[in-house]
Amino acid sequence: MILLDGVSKVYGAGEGSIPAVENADLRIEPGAFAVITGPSGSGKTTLLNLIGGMTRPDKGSITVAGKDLLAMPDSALSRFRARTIGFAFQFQSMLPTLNALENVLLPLRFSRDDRTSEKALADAMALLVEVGLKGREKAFSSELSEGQKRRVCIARALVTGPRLLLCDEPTGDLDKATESVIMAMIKRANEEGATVLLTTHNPALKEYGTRLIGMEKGRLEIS
Amino acid sequence: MTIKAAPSLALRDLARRPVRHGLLVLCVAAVTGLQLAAFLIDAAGRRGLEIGLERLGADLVAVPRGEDGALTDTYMTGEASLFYMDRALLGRVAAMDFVEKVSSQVFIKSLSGASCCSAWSVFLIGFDPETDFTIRPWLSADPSRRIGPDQILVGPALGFEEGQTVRFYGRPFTVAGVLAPSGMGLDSAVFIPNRSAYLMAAESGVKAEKKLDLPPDRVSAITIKLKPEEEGGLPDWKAAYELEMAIKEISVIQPLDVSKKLSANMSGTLKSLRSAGYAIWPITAIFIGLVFAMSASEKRREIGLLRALGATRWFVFRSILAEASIIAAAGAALGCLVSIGLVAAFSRAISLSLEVPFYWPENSALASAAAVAFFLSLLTGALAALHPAASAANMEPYEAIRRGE
Repeated sequence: MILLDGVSKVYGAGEGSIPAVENADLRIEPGAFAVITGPSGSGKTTLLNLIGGMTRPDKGSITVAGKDLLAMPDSALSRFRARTIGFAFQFQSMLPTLNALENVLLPLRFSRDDRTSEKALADAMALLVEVGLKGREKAFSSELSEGQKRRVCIARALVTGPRLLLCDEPTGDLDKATESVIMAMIKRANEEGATVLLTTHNPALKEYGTRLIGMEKGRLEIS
Repeated sequence: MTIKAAPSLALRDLARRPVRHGLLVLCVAAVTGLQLAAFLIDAAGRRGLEIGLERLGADLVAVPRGEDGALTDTYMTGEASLFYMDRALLGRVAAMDFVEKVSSQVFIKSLSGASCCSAWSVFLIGFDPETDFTIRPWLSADPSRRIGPDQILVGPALGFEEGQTVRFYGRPFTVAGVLAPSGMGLDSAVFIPNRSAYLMAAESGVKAEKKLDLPPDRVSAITIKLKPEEEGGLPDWKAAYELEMAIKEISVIQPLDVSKKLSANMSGTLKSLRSAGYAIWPITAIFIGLVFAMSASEKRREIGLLRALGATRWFVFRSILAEASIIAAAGAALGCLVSIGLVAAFSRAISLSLEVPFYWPENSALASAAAVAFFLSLLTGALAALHPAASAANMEPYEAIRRGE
């Protein structure tokens, strides 16, 4: 599903440059649940963003679902992200001008999903119900709690039925109840066939992983 | 509601900062409004002139030597100057080979704030119904009718109706007809047959609060119709020259002189309006560019998120351009409406202050001018936002999210 070959990413230039990912080689099989751990600044988020085609490496190659990300033009890469990848960020990422339901529907608009608008609406509503936000679909981010916003974002990450789910500290700063809801949904997506890459500081979340990957100063420590 | 296109997302974004975007709309409205107002005043003045000159009806007008400037002011604004020359000059002008016919006008008095009429100033002019060929043709109805001794013809700005009785200097007159509007000062003129005018002046000492002095056997202007050139006539300019050479007591005005005067009166104001518009134009464009650069910078994280969810660069570019275009369109529409409204509301004041006739342009010309002003402003908004939109669209999604945190 994922193949990284000698991938490096450096921020800045010259003496002040910071190597975020150094010479990373990684292979993740389809359907895996990989948990990436490591201290802050170890390069976990950058690694996830490289795999998601959100940034380009300085060196190396990245292949996801058989596609060489570096060879794809921007429009194709954008479409690929919309259709293949679900993102759950470490911050609440609801778009403030859209309500909860519109946020969840947004990836379907970009992926040009062939489902009818009625079906899309029903699927989005079902996900919102699943994350416990029944009756809050018209609420904007300013009207929701932090935990509710994160649930909206998980519903949005799953709405296209992505083959790859990239979760960057998806439960950081959340209460136990919300953490359970979110992790249950991620686990179910994995059980339904999605490959999951999840970064975390939380040792308890390691249990979910079928693979554990450590990161230290931009280097991968694969177990 | 599902977000289906960039413009609907743009509309939501605009609603988030009403004050900032409201100010932008006002700037665009000012630019559009100034340009359109300049056009309207120019077009209204020119149309008024065309109609007014046609209304003048004469090929040439003779006035006492040196009073040519005063006559153009009188015709254009209705603010009368009183000047007279010997009536015998009428015969000398008529005797010229190239003259087909002549008639005379006597400028009687300009009344300000008269209680008779809806117009602020009323200009009383004596005319000769027997020889007149310039006034009666412009009666709104039945131009060929005869005008009796105590019947008057009135300009449309005075608010009189046909058959109404009006008193001037204590003498009653019946309104025999209302002239078609010209946009010139003559719209607030009252044309009184010469004989009645002299009777009115003679009786004013007894019947009116103030006596009217009207010098006998004098005329103010001689309207001249030239013979066609094929019948021995001369071109306007040559006839005017010949007349001034032959009769030293008169100055001869061609309609073109009035036109030149009008252009001179308008040019300063139009230049100021246009300059103000041109000056605000780049400032507005820069303002729009800065606001959208600022806005794109503030929304980096949102732009990054949109890109992460699958939005293409083109979608981001279109969203920002759509925001700018919506602002520009709203400002341009507002500017057009306010400009048209203000020019219409103050048309009389504009006419008086610029000393030009004012006649509202044809609807088609107005619509074309408004459309041009609208699309120029729209284009300005879109072009100004081009760079910020391109910069925002070209950011890598992760870079945008990182820098937006």
